Amino acid sequence: MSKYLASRLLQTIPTVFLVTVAVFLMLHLTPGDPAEVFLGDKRSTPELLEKVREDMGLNRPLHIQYLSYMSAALRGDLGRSLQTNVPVMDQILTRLPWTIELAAAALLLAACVGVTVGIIAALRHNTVIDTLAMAFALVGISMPVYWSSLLLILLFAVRLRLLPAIGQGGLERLILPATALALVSAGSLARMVRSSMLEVLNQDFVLTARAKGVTERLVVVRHVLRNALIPVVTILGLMLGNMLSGAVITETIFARLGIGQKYVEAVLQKDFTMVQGTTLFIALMYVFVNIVVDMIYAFVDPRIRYV
Amino acid sequence: MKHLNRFSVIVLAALLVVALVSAPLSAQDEVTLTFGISRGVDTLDPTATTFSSVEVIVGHVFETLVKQQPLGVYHPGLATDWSVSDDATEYVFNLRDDVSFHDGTPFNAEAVKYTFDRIVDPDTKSQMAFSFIGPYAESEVLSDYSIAVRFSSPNAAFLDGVSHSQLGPISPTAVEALGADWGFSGIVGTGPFVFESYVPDSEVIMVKNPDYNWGNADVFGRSGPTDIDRLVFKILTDPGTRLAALESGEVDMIDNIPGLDVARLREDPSFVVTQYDQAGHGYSFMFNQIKSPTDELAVRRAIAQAIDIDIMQDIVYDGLGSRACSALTKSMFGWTDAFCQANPYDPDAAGAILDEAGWVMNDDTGIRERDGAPLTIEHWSPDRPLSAATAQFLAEDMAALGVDFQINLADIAAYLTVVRAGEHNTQQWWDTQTDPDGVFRTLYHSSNAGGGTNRNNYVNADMDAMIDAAVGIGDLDARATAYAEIQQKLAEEVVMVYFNDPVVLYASTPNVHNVTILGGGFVPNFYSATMGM
Amino acid sequence: MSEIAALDQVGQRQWRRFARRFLRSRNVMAGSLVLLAVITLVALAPAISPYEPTQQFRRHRLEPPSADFLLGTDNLGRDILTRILYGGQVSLQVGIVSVAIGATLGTLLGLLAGYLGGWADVLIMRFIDMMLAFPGILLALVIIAVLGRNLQNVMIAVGLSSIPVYTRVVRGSTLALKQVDFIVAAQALGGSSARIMARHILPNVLAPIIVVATNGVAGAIIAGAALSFLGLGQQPPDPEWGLMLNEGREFIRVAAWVTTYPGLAIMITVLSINLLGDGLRDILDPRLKL
Repeated sequence: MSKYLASRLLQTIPTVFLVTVAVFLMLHLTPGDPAEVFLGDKRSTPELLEKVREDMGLNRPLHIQYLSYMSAALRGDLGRSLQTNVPVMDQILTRLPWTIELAAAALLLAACVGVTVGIIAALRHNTVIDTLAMAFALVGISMPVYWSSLLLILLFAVRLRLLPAIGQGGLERLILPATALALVSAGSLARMVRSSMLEVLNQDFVLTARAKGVTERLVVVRHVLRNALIPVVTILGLMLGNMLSGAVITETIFARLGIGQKYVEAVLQKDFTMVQGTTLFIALMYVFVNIVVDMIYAFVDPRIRYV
Repeated sequence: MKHLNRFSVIVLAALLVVALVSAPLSAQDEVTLTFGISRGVDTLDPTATTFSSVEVIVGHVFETLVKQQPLGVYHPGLATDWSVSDDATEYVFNLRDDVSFHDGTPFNAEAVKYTFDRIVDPDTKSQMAFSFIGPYAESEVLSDYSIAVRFSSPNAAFLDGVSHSQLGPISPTAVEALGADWGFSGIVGTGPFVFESYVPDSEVIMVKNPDYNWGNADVFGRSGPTDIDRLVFKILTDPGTRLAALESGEVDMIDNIPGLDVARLREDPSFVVTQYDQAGHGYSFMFNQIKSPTDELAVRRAIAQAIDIDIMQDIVYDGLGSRACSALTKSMFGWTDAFCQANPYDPDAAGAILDEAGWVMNDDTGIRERDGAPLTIEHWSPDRPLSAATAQFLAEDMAALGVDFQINLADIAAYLTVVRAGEHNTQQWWDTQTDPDGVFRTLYHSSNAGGGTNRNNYVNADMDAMIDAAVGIGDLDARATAYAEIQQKLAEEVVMVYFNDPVVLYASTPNVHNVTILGGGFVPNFYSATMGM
Repeated sequence: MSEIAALDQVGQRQWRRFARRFLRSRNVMAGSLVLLAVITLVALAPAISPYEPTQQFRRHRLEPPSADFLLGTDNLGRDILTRILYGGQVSLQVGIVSVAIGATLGTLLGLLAGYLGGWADVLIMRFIDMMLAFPGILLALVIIAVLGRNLQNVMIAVGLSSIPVYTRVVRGSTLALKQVDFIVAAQALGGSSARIMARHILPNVLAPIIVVATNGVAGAIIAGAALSFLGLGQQPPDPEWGLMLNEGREFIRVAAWVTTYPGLAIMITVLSINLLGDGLRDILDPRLKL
């Protein structure tokens, strides 16, 4: 196990390196001068531009800039936002809890709904209930999150005035964005759980258990569910990716203070240092979350080879 | 067991009563006003900010040397009185001697000199403040509480400049102590509120300055410490968000109400809507004169006459504000109604102008051509809902005229790169200013062409001379005449097209009273505010 | 050689069986019929739509659905139905072109990694790992930030960010095929790598590619509209579904139809493609789980 962990971590080193290089190069491949962005829509003279460039270190050779960026990044310093002059790391850390709150709530909701619907569909295979459940799942995965978000706002905030449409803090502001974000994942989870249950239901040990006269409930709980849920773990990482990219949109629509919303804003404003820092942060977080998911998978399913 | 239960119930009830009795008392003790502000913050450093909207926030922390209310009328602030040399190149201010900064640093002439010198220091990369301070040469400390400010050329607009909190004195000790964090984790001035905290993109909190005793009663109706214990600015850039925050009671007042909601709020007794004409320069349209075909007067005039500006008021501006007449909005000094119909809407005449200039319609493409080249306009704009609606409105009128109107909505960096390089044909413009010199200099002076804010790239020696002369005229009537002449010349050469003079709209709960609105409607000030039914 | 010829015959028989099952699958038929209807309507937009997509009826601003404007008008008084029909041309184009980009490049990389192995495999897969480190739409956002905003770049961005899926699927199948007798035979007969990959491996990994690509079109339509929604795609005034949704957001309190109908159009299209994709998967490759 520890050997697997070590090799898995070792494998990520080149990935992480490539990610940092790619993220860094982004700033220099992008048309539009960071110094211009810094100066904004007002006064600008060639001398002033040159001064800003010099201050920002943009006149140094690329590899020097990369090394100094990375050595600062390792110390937790991702530079300052071009728009607000606020340390990028501060921005990320104040927003991270809100994004985690949203992603965790959505993940929980998706897991509850998705697994339940999937199980019911599998147990009622080829009945109306199964068809309805799968129709629900299909609609779920076919709804663009920006549209379901708008529909939820329209229905619950504008028409019924039941829940606040925007902002963060408190359960009532979490329900709508988390629901919008959970829909897609709930749909794909339901489909996944159903097919994996169906597979297990037809396997020998289940048939044996049934033949031995074990009650159906016990068969399902003890034998089917345990085995059927193992593959579900594999898509946890994928789902987290969905959550993060979905958060980019839901946070924007629901005006939630979060990393995703800041990210879109930074891309649109060409706040290079902000984009760079946030991309780096999200990418690294995602890589390590995936390692953790792999670990969990290796743990729950002993059949996996430790390569 | 039962007794114990009953006992604990009694204890709990007693605790509850105590809590209920004490909680409202402490809450009532503190008066909090929360304002939902529509525009973001780049930095809270008044000397460095590039956003005019930051003044709304920092104006509470930084007191200014003079107060301006209404536009063009000046009152003492930190300066008790002042004198201006005849040629407007030297200003002498006498300062109050009883003022100290929030950090205890005494306020004096040295602090003013420090502030002004910092603005022109290239390291500060000052933007707004730099344009307010104009052709600054030097400050001389005449005594502890007297300072002379000198300019390299006449600067009649300096009293206006110094009434903005971007030129409000900053605490030299705090600036040095905070270093790079000045404007982010701390700001220190002499105003009625003391900065407490700032969460970027979220909120700025300030508390009452109990020592404040230098408010101008002529402007604010009071002079001692403010009634507001805690002033919170919630940054709510999304219009729907902002409105919802007001409706749910999270904020007491907001600015920039979404246009389509104004009528509904006006009828709702639980809200108070107030409206001010915005000072400065309204929504308008620039022609770049260094790129074909907008370098041609005929093309500019034809386009100006082909835009249905009257119906645009309803379609694009939701019926708010009024049709613009010139570069100055109606509340500005120097505005005149003489040029409202300088280039009237007349699509047929517009077509005739282009025909005469040799741009003839190609009936296959619906686009006019001359020597085989199509009449194409490259329009650039940052991607904002209002700009997008404006551009699409224009595109339809341009299509009718036979102009191939290409819309380029871009992120701010890409947009700036293009328009600074002068690669656009047209772009939109809007600005708040309080002095006409600022408006004309920003848009039509050659010193701002070639990459600056004069993206008309209008370079005209006569115009430069007229603008430079007007700013030095002390007599108000003569100065107004000079600005009328400038507006006439601009109308004749169709340098820009003016669409809408906006209104500044505020909505609050009926609890908020006595807010002072400065800066020609654009700068609400809560020093004088009171809360209560 | 005879073994390969025999395999081709097996292939033919498989295609015939595929056609039979295609016609019999309810999912596939429902999906393709709806999709066909969508494509027809969208393709015929110039003929059937009541107005021009950018035509402004300035006295009919933000009007609810009526006989004159079946799905209502937007803030500039444009007919929403007309704009949805024309906008569909863009959205479908984005879906198909970006999948073509992603599938082609992804398949190529997957074939090379799987067949050549060794350094090529390591390099390609590290590159793919790097791409996968940017979850979902983030990668597309980064690519657009670099390339600049326009529709063409949306297709490139969405296409490029879908590469990893194809590479992984194709590499896996290729690795498995490498062990199969007829490939080993072809290698023994001295076939060049390129020829073996093109003639023998590619046709046999086509089934999973088709399945992934079908669902990919649905995903690309959603992603493309998302980018326009965020202000990184289609330039106005020409319509596109995501752009229409975004423009309508501002008016959701007073004119919900401006946002609801374009969203419905996206959902119906995506739903039909997903149905088709599900059906195709059941027929072609039941083991492939997505």
